[in-house]
Amino acid sequence: MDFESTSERILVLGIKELTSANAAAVKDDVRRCIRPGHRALDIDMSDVRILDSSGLGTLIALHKVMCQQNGLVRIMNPTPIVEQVLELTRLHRLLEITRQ
Amino acid sequence: MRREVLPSFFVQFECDVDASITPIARVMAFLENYGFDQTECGAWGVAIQEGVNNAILHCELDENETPHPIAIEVMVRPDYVEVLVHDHTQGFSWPISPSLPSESSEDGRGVYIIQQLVDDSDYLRGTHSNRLILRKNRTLPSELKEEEKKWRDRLKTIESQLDETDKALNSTQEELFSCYESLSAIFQFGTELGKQGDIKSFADRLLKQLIPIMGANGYLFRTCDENGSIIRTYSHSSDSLDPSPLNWNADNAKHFLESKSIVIRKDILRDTDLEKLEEGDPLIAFNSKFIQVHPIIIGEEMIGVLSVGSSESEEPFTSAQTNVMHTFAHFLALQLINVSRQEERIEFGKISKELEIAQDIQASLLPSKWPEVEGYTIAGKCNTSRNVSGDFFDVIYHETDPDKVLLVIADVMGKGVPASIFAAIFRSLVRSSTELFEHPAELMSKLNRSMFQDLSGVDMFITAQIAYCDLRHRTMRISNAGHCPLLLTSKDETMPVTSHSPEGLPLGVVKRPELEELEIDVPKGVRVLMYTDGIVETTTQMVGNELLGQKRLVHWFQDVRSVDQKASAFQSSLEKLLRATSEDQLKDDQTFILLVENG
Repeated sequence: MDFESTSERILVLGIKELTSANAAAVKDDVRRCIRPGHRALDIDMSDVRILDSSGLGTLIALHKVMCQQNGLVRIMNPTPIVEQVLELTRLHRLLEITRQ
Repeated sequence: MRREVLPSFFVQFECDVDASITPIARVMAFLENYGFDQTECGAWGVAIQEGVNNAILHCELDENETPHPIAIEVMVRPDYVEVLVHDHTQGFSWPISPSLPSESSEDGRGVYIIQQLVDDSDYLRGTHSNRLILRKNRTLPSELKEEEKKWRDRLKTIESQLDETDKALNSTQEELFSCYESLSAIFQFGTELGKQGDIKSFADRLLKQLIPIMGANGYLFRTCDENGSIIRTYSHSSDSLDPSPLNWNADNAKHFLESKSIVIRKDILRDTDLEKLEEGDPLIAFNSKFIQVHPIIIGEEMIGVLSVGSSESEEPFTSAQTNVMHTFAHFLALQLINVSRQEERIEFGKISKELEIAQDIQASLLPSKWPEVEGYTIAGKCNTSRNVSGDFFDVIYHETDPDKVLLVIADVMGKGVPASIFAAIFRSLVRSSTELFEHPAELMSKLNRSMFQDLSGVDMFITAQIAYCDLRHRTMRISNAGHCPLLLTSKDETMPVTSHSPEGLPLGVVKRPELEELEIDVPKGVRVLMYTDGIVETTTQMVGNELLGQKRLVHWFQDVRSVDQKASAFQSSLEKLLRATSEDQLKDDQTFILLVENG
């Protein structure tokens, strides 16, 4: 997993899956990278093959962190299964989905 | 039918989230290999992951303080995919309609996600293990569906071919078994036949054995009569199956199955539901759905026809059953022929015995002793080409005057028994007409009158020659009815052999024949030869396999006339000439009489 950070934005790259196996680790790693000035957390999910409920829990937790500093979480280029899970759980309304 | 072999996958791993990554990836790769796209594989990955998460979350330790392993089982079916996740937890109640937690909740979505990603799910709790069942209908891309359909069709074709092979093997097995059955039955009954020899009851028992083997409800076995145009019932399974004799000519072959089968010399199988029997067909009595008719032919000879009916089966007779029917019919036909030939042999033996008796009787009618006539010797012989003969000769002495002798020789047209009967009648008539001995032409005329009707009634005739010899007065009166001439010569070498054949038609040809009577002088040292045509028509090696002929016979007579011997010596010489025949079997009877004056 890689991070690209600017003063207002942080980009997370290289996640292959977000499940119970790594959800807690991802959450902790990303949280440590967030700075008070960050307004946007972009997570590139173009390579994610599996996103389970634990992974969703991580995304929600990160969303809460960003909300506390008036920021947001954006899911970048999600794979179909990621988009499907987000829609099924209606979290697509909470987490902004963007494509580039 | 064969069971379809469908793809499946099984993996077991430690109850640990890190240990679950690779197995789940392998499940997804397995599905991808079977044509599932990335989204479907991902959905299955998520659903399975959620199931595994629950198993890990609620896992228990075994007696060794080690968590029980988790197993994933995947089965790909034509219309759906089923995944089982086996866990060893206390389990939990599977919610029927789980709801989503609030958006801010970081957990509690697992079961909801599972139920949204699959079409059907259930959680079965057991004593020691539980099973999460996930099922999702397949939605293959159209090109893959086409490909799958193609392979599925091909698989069905192969399965169909395998089924056909199975059937063929079963049929062969059944056929072999049937052959064994039929051979066994035949050997068993063959042994019985040898003991009892009753062919009719043997046929009944043998064919009754055929009914259960054929799954039949009746049989009818009919044999051809001697002239071969009519079949008559020989054996049947019930009295209701005993039809009248049937002519199997071409006209009947158009209407009746048995006649048709014999005429075309082939089996006929009739489904009477599809094609009813014609009115009057004897096989209607079967009252059967299927009727099999088999013509029985040995060599070129039509022996008969065997018909079998089946009313209970919905299927026609199998090839194995038909083979058994053929085997039984052929075997039975051979037995019938054997019995018939045995009867013929017995009958032939009887006839041979009767012919031997007839031969003895006929031989007893011929002169066996030659009474002394002073100064003369007489000899005669009748060689027959069969047991009994149509040739005949007789030497009759005057009752009071031993110098008067009647020489009679005759040849009935034809050979064998009919000819011998007329020869016997001829002899009796001659013997009973002593008053006419001195007048051979009158005697011959009387013989014709007596026998004309009988002979002409059967288109037969007799050639005969009668010579009345008055040896004291040295005269001879001859009458001839179409017979070979009498040869006469003398010991005197200057006297040629003369042949004497007065005019006269054979007996039985015309009602009142003109019969000439010839009187000739008997020279001193006379030699007389009377003979039938079998003598001159024999072929002899002494003359190069040509007919002996009258000319050569005359030459022989001329050569031997001067020999100072008795008639028996002349007989031996003539027989030596005749024995040189080139054939063992005489073509015609050979008969002759010799009268020889001594000195």
